[in-house]
Amino acid sequence: MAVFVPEPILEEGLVQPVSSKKRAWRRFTRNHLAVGGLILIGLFILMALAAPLIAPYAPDTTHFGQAFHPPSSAHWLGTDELGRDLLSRIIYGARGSLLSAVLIVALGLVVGVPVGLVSGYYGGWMDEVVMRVVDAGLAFPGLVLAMAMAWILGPSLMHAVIAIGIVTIPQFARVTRGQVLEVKNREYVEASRCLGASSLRVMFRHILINAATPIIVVATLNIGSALLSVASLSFLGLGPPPPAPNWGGMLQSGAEYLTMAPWISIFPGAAIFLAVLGFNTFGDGIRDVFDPNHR
Amino acid sequence: MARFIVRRIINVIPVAFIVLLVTFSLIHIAPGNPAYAILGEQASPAAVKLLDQQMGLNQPLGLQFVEYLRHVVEGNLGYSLLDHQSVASLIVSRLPVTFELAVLAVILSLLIALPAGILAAYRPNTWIDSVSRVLALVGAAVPNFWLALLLVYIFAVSLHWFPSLGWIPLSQGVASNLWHVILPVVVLALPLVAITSRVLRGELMEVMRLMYIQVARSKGVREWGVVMRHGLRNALIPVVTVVGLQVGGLLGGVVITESIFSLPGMGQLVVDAIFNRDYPVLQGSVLFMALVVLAANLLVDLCYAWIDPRIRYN
Amino acid sequence: MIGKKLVVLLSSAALLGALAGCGSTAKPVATGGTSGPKVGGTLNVGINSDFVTLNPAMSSALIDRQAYINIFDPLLKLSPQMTIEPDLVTHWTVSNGGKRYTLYLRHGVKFQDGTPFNAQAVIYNWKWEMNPKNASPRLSNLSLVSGLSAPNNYEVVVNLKAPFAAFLSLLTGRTGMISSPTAMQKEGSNYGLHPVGTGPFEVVSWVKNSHLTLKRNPNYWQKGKPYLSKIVYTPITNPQQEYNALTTGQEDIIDSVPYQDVSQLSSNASLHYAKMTGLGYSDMELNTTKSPLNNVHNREAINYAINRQALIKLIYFGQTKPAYSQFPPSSWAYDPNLKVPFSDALAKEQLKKAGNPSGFSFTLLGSNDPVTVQEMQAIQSELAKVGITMHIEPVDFTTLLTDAINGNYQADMLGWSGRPDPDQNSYAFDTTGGSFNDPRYSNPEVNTLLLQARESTSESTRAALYQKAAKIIAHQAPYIFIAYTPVIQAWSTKVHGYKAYPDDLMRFTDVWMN
Repeated sequence: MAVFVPEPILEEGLVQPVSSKKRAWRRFTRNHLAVGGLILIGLFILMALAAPLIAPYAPDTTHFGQAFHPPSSAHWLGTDELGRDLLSRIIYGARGSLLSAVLIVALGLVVGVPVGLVSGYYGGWMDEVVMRVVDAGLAFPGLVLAMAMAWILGPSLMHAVIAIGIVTIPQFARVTRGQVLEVKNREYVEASRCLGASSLRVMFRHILINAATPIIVVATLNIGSALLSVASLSFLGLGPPPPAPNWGGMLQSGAEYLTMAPWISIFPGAAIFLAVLGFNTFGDGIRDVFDPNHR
Repeated sequence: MARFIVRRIINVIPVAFIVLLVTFSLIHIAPGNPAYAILGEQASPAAVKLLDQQMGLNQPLGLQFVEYLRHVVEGNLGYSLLDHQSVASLIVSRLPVTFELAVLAVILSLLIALPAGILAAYRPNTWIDSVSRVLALVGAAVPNFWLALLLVYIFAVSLHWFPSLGWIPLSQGVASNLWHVILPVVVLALPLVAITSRVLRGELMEVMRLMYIQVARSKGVREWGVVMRHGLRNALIPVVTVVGLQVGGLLGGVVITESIFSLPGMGQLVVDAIFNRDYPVLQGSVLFMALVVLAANLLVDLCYAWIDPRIRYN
Repeated sequence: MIGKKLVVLLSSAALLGALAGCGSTAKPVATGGTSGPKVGGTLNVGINSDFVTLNPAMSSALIDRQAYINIFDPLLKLSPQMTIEPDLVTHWTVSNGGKRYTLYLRHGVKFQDGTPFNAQAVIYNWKWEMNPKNASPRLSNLSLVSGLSAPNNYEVVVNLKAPFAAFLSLLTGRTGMISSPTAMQKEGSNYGLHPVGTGPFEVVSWVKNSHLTLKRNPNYWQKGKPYLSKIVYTPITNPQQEYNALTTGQEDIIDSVPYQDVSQLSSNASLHYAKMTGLGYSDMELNTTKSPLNNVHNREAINYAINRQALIKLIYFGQTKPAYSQFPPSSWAYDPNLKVPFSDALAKEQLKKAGNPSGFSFTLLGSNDPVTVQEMQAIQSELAKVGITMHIEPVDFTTLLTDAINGNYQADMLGWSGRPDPDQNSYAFDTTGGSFNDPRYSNPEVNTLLLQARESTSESTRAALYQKAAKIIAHQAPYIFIAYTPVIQAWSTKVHGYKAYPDDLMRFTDVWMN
């Protein structure tokens, strides 16, 4: 989902971003969509952190007599199939959803980036092997492989995170390697190598820093897709067991009552949509800012 | 170019080997005897023993892998634990549904994405471009299962315009077949539209900046003509790549849409295999899907070489 | 001999009386078009899960019976009141103190492949099922059989090791569904894909997870029937989707309606429906050999702490009745006075007696479909009120069954589809070592009562025995019965001549379309 900036800014972008933090910020704030994305992300993070303060009700307390109530002044988003307040469950659900998405991307980064770094830096047969493995990893439809792994490991949030995290590793390895290849033969890297810096130091201090931007962009965009994947697994019944609220699971149980009480599935779906939209828009925005030549 | 093609094909072999290694090891990621992962932790010792024998799980791992390779090469993907049907024949019987869904989704997405991308590139930074950009962002962020439920609720349950589920084989009438797949195809196509239209826009603008187009323009060719004749042809190459790279995502989407719309394709096969604990079917389907993606990527590269022989490969 | 037959008829009449109270609320069928039945048309049938096998000798899945009832004629059939009536067996006698059944077969019936239906065919089927090598689930039904013989082509003599009152009831089910021996031999292990019976419809093709197509049997022994030229079954596992398929006209009839949609059925002019109490129930099974539920007081505490009325209102939308025993209100063994009160005070008293006044915790296994998960969560919050902590573990259905059968669980959420004879709802569940006794419950008194009931030929004696056993079970709570399963079916007004049965099976012999 590449987003492209107008031509005058493209020309501007030829200037190295390091020397123009202010300009980058200005370019970012001028990008209304990206700012919107950042605000959305902020709201969701706030929701997750302050859940006990914001949520009008306890997320797990059932009131059978109040099941299936449509949105009202008492329950802004209505109640679910056990009479629990939907808004409170969505607010608490943000915790698991955001945390798992961040953990997934963290897993992808922690394993994928060093692999890509080493592979790109040393090249040779090791690079060949790593790249074939990455190719193989990217050949699997991510959701299907994650489903298979989540099933084998058993349903829990941690297992869903591991399954989806493993699937994202090859992406990070590939992006990192690509960046390393681009930067590795620049003068300043050559220079520090000549000055006797260790390989490890060169890799992390010089190459990684300069390859960071695209990795950050990919990471941000991946949080969005990780959110979707976790929700998909939960929707298929491979997520964490109840009663802890999670958006995909809420949507799944609401789907049983779609015609009678559509709000039970519509609102959690909307929460997933908005959160993913926030991360994607923000990811696009920072790509525009740091890497105007990106295609 | 012939050398490139040969090299590219040879390149696939080690990748396919690793794919096989992954599908083989899938069951071994759980701790303990894989038979327990297949049958459930509390399976009886007798059932475990039987499965060990059936699937050769009691042999040394290396030997198991060699056997697995041999079987796959022979086209034997194992047998369903549920009804002992061959996994390969199950996959073949499900393929037409998934194939039709995927092809129609790609066609529909191109029908929307091509005009959207061209218009956005032709008038960048206007309202047309903004609308196209917002649509792309929305399209990429909508959870497909949510979209599917909304479409069912609105167009099937409330308005009765389309059936809510089910599959009519093409042989029983093209019209009713299409009638049944419209909603699932829309769900599958939306993320494709998002990606394709934006890539096309970017590529078109890039190509148009290139010199020879400046020349064409200076020669007095009308701008619209430039876009269509020179820009589009060159910009379509990356579009082919993007569509090719989406095959994996498309297969993931197929799992969701087929299970929501009860379509008897590969996706449903995977979901059923999981819920029936039918491991051989799951393993075989995952392998098959990965090989399809590999083949698609290979095809894209070959197309690439064919469309634009000037491109150099290393 | 005649006396024995009379007993059979009398018992049927008693059952009929018992059923009069259980209402079936079908909308009056419109009498607009007065045209009678006509041959032709395709009936699209939605079923809630896919068939597993089409071979009745190998089937253990409930859903399979939906197809069998139209492909095979059972030896005896059930009336809409669940009384036993002649079918392929035209009459029978019981002798030797209830240990010998003589079955007289209908003449001139042929299997769909032309093979004649006769005593040899029946015995061939049963011998095949009794051969342990074939691992037929019917084996346990026939385990009491000590000898089979055919004095002539149309007479089967069955000798039993002990009297078995439910034997005739078995013949209305899969044990009484006879396959063509020719086809069984020809197809071998593929017979489950190409079954051949004597029924009104024969199999055309079966594509797993997609559809099963049946066509009219032109040589059906009931001349002129059936009327439909084709039946197409489509499995739709999501209840809401199944109902949508009916309302959008994709299916003409469905085997179940989501409870929340029942109230709109009466206002839908293009649909007919029937609602009645079925033969089965939903329940929790408590493992009596595993702590803390090996303590009878802890089990009783659970029994008192569950508010069945509230659960029924929430999960079943009020469409059924609370269950306190294995015998549904339609059964002559049903005891209307047997109730387990809902009382937190009584539950807490039991917790005190158990030695854990502040409660205990355990794990409940259940199927991972959303409605079961919802029900488990509802029970969880009920139990929490008296201090019992229940963890929920949703698993796939295969795992659930395996764990239940092997006793590797503390508590599970299962149910029983129910059978017409009370023996079939209790004996294997409650007696020591019984094949369905997942809770590993063992009580010599219950064993004796249920054995007496199965060997007695008097229905009133049997009823008293079952009620006595049910009272003990309700108290000791190896099972927590929650609700009787309602049968709710709906069909398009295009479908004529259809009648719903409490066993949920959809019989299409008399159905026609306009």
